[in-house]
Amino acid sequence: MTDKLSIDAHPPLEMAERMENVGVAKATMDLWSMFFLAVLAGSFIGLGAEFFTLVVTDSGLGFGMNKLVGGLVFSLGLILVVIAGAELFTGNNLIVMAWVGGKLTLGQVMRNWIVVYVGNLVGSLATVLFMYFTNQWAFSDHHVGATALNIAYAKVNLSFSTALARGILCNALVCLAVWLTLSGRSVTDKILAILFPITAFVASGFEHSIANMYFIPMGLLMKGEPEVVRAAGRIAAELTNLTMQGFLKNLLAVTTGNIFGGAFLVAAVYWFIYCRHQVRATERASVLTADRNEARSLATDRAQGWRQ
Amino acid sequence: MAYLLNIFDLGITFLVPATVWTLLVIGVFQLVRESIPRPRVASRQVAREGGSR
Repeated sequence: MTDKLSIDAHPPLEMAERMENVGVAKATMDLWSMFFLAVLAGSFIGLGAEFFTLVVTDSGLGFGMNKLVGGLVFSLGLILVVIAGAELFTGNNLIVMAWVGGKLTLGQVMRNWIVVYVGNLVGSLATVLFMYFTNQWAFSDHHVGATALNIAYAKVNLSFSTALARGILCNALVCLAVWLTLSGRSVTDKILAILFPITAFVASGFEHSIANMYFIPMGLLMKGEPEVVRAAGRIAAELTNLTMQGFLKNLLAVTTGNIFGGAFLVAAVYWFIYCRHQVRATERASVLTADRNEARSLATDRAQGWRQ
Repeated sequence: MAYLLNIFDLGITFLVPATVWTLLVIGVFQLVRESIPRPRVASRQVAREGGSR
């Protein structure tokens, strides 16, 4: 009763238990629900990325403030994912907690990651197509499109180690945002928990694989619009790396970094801190129960032997 | 300092992908193994043989 009336945030130990249970529910969901929830998440993150592109265009703010405002509006993506409910690959890296805790197999984790990654890609690409046909990129004398082109250009020109390091830090922050939402009891709690980690990763220029599934394909489309290329102050020869190959190279490095940051630096670390003792306690309890059962059956056998 | 940074760079560039990709390969292998249905013919045969005795 007191728990129902409590307005305190859930403590970290409870958050870890909730994460394990959420992980099990996510990984054992039926395939089509999982896929369509992932498509939704891809489009939600795409909407956040689109909002970011629009807001940072000609904002008239200084470098830091522009990044801050961009980060705040990008948070829309994860707010939609968490509150409306959707399956996001980067957030689902936390499922590793349930695997390490022995509640899921690695195969079940992988099934979730593969289906969700593909679903996120489909959702992001669909959002790119819709945004292209809205002609929103022509706003502000094609400067919105120019921003999209410059963002994609910067992303495909990152070296492998830079993209990897930015990917690690990005998903550490995204998973921390998801982790923090587990402490919340209301929608307001959850939104506030999301805002700062997401703003920090966007403002810091870190790399998010699912957001890049929107940003780079949008840049690829913008590359084919001469007015946008002109507004971006670029020439076609500069954009040679902005290709499908450049997109895949970026995704490989960033996805690898995202998995490491989310699964190893957040999920595994928090599991080690809060859940490893529980596993030991459970193991000890099961060993004790097994010993007790064995002792009981031995006693019964002996009793039967004496009777005979 | 530059030497340490180089080592750290190597660590990030090789160890992180190696760790992640190994996890993914093992996971995909396990997923494939789990999704192959276990043969039930053998167990039925055993049951039948058991019944005939």
